[in-house]
Amino acid sequence: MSSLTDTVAPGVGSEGPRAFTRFLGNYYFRRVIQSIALMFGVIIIVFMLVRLTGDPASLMVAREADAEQIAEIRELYGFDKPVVEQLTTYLGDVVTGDLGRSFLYRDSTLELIINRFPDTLILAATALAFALLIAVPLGVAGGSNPGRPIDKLARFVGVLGQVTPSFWLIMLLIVYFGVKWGLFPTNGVGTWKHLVLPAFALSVGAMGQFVRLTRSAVLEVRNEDFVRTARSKGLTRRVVARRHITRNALLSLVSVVGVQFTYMLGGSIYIESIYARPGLGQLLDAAVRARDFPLVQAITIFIAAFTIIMNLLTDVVYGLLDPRIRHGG
Amino acid sequence: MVALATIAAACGGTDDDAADAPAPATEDAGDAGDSGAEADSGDDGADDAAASDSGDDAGSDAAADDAASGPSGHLKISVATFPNSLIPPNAAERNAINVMQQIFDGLTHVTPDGEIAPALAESWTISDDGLVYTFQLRDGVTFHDGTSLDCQDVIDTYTIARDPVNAYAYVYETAEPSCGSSDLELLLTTEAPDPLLLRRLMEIGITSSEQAAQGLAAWEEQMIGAGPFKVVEWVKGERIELAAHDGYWDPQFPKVAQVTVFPMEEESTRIAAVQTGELDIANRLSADQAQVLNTTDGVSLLAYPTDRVYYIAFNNLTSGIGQPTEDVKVRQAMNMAVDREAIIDALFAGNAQLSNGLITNGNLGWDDTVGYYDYDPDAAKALLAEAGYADGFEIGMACPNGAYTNFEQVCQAVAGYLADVGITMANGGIEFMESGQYWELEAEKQLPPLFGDAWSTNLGEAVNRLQGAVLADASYAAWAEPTITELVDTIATTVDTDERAALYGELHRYMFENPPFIYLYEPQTFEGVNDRVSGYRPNAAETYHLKYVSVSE
Repeated sequence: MSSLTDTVAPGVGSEGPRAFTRFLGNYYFRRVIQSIALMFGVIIIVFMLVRLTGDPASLMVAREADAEQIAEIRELYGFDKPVVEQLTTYLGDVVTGDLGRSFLYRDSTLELIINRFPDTLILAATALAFALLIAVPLGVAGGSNPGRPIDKLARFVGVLGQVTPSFWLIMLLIVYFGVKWGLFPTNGVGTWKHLVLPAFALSVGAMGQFVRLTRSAVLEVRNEDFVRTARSKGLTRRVVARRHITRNALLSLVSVVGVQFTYMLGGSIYIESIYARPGLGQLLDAAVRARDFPLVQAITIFIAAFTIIMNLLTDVVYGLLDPRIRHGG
Repeated sequence: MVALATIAAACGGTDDDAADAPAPATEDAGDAGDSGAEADSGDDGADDAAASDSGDDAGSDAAADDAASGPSGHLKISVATFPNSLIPPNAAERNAINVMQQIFDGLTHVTPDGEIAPALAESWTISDDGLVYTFQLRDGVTFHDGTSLDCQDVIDTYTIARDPVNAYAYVYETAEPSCGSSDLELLLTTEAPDPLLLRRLMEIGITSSEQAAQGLAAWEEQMIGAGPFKVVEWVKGERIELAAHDGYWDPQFPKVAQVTVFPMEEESTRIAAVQTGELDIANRLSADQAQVLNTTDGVSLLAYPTDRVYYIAFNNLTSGIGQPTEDVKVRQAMNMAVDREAIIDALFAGNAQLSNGLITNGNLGWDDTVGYYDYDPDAAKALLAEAGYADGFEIGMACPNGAYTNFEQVCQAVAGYLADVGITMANGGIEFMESGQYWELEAEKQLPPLFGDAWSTNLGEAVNRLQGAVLADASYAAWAEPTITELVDTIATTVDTDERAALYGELHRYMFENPPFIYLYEPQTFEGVNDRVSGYRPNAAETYHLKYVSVSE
C-alpha cells in the first residue's frame, strides 16, 4: 500500500482536482448517505418504542376522567389512527422541520430543545475539557514512565474513572464541596462556580478512558520505528515526545472524543436533574416522567442527529489526520 | 401522575410546628426602605380601604411593623418538578399549581385551616335549589396589569379557559358565569348541585378581560392575575421570579417582597440547598433522607400528614367476580391479617398513619368513633373458616413498580401476611408492572382481583376520591355496590355542609365494616424550613400559602 507516500493534500499537483472529487465521491459522500439512512432508521425505531409502553391518551388526563374524555383526547391527538399512518405523518413533519408539540409544555418541541441545548452543550464541553486537561498529561506522563508511581496513578485513575457512576459522584460532591465545605453552590446555574461540580462529575467516565488510551498510545508509539529513527538522528528526548508521540497518541483520542462527547450528552440527564440545571437532559427526564411522547421523540431524535453529525465530523477529522483511513476503504 | 388531583383547598394539618399567625417583620427601618423602593409600600397603604393604618408615620418604630412596613425580604423555595404552565387551566400537577396559586386568586380562598374564606368575592349567597351562587365581588381589586376587577373579567376568564386544548378546560364547564345586577355582582349557575364548588373556586384563577382578549398564548406568557405575587421573570427550567403585587386587595399581605422558585427534582439536592441556605424551604422530603435536617443548625424539619390513602383494592366488577373476596367476611379477615403498624414502622420509620377508610382525619365528616382493624391473624383465620375458607385460597395480585416510595415492599409484606392466614398469590406471586402500563390496565379494569394503589385529595373532602375509587363507571374503580353508590351520589349533590358531613360519617362507617379495600396507611411528608422563615404552615393538601410567610434577614 503506497498510502504513506500518497499523503498529498488535495489540489497539489496534477492529481489534485481528480483526487479531490474521488475522495469526496467515495468516502465522505458514502458516509453522509449512510448517516441520513441511519437517521431515518432511528426516527422509526424511536417512534415505535415510545408507543410500546401504553396508550398515551389515558395517561394524559386526570384520574377522575371517564372513558369518554379519554376517547376525546385520543381523537384530538390522532392516536386512534393506524400506527403506520401516524408514522408517515410524523416522518413528513420531521423532514419539514416540525418535531411536534409538547403535550406538557404546549410549545413547539424544537423550540424547547433549542432553548435548553446550549446549557447542556456548555456542561458537556466543560466536562470534556476537564477530562482532556487531566487525562492527557496524566496518560502521557504515565506512558512515558511505565512502572513508576505516576504510571500507577494513571492506571488507577483510568480504572476508577470508568467504574464511578457519575450520578453518585455528583451527590457526593454536593455534600462535601457544597454543604460541608461550602466551596461551590449545591445546584443551579449562573456563574462559573455552578459549572465545576456537575462538569467534573460528568467528566470522570471519559477521563478514565482517555487516560488509558493516551497511556497505551504513548507506550505503543515509544517503540515504533520512526521514533527510534528520530532519536537516532539525535533529537532530544523531549522533542521526540512532543513531536511524534503526542501527535500520534492524540490520533487515537480523536476517534473517542466524539463518542465520549455524545455519551456525555446522555449522561447529562442525571447530572442535570440532580444539580437542577435547566438543560436538555433534564428536559428529557421530565418528558419521560410525564409520558410526553412528542417531546421524548423529538429529544431522542435531536440527540441522535447530533451524534450522527459528531461521528461524521470525527471521521472527517480523522481522515484528514490519517490518510490511511480515507484511502484504505 | 396519580397526584393529578383536580382542585382546591387545604386540609388543616395536625402539626403544630409552624407559627399560627404571620410574625411581624423584625427588621424594618432598613428593610422598609428597601422594600419601599421595590414594592411601593406607600401606595399599598394609600389605595386600600381602611385596614392599613398607623404604619407609615410610626414607621420609625421597630415594634410597629406588619402592614406598615410593606412586604420585605426574599424567600427562596423549591418545587419538585418544573412547572409546565403557570396558568390555571393548564398547570398540570401539584408543583405547578403551587406556584400558580401565588399569582392567581380565585373568588374564594381556603385557609390553612381548611375553612372557606372570601377572596376576590367578598360574600355570597346560594339559591334554595343550590344551583345559583350570587357573589359580591370585592371593590377595588387590581390585576397585575393595573385594570380593575368586575364581573366581565370572570366571564372572559371562563371563556378562554374553556378552550379544549387546555388540560383542565372541563373544570370551567362546571358552572356558567354571568353578570348580576351590577358590575360587581357575579352569578355562577350550575346544572346540578355542586357542594364542592366553593372549594374548587380557589384554583379557578381569574385574569383580566384585557389579558383574556389577547388570547391563550399571551396569557401563558404574561400570566396576569390578581394574586399576591406577580411574575417578574420565568426562566424556563431554571427559576421563577415573583414579586409582591403592590395593588393586592389584602393590604396586610403578602409579607415578602420577592420570591424565587427553584424547581429541583432531586430530593437530596433540595436538602443540601436548605442546609447551605440556598433555599429557605425544601419541600417534599422523605422520612429517611430528611432526618439529617434534625441536626442542622438553623433549619427545622416539619412533618405533616398528606391526605393520601394507600390501599389494596378488591374487585367485584371484573376479575373479582366469583372470587372469595366477594364475601364481606373474607375482606374483613384480610384487613385483620395485615400488620400495618409493623409495615409503617419498618418501611416508613413510623412516619405514617394507619388508615381505616377513604375518608381521613381532617376530611369533612370524619368520624373518630369508627375503629381500626387490629392485627389479629387468628381472628382472621377464624373468620375465613366461617366463610368456608379454612384452608385459605389462591388469588391474583398486582402492584405498580416505581410509583410510590417503598410501595413494592409494602405489597410484598401484605402478600406475606396474607400467606400466614392461608391466602396465597396466584401465578407464582405478585405481578409487578411498570406504573404507566399498570394504570392503563387499571383504567380498563383489567388488573387482577387484588391490586395496590393510592388516592389523594386536596379538597378537604373525600368525595373526589370516592367518586374515583368506588363508582362503577369511574375508570379506576374496581368495586361498586348499591349502598356505597347511593351515598356517594347523594353526597355529591348535597350542598348543605352539615348534611354532607353526616352522610360522610355514615359512608365511612359502612365502608369500614364492609371494606372494598385493605386499608393501609396515610404517609407523612416532610419539609425543611430555614429558621428565618415564619408564618409557613405546610398542610395535607400540599398547597403553599406564601402570602402569609415572612422572612427575617
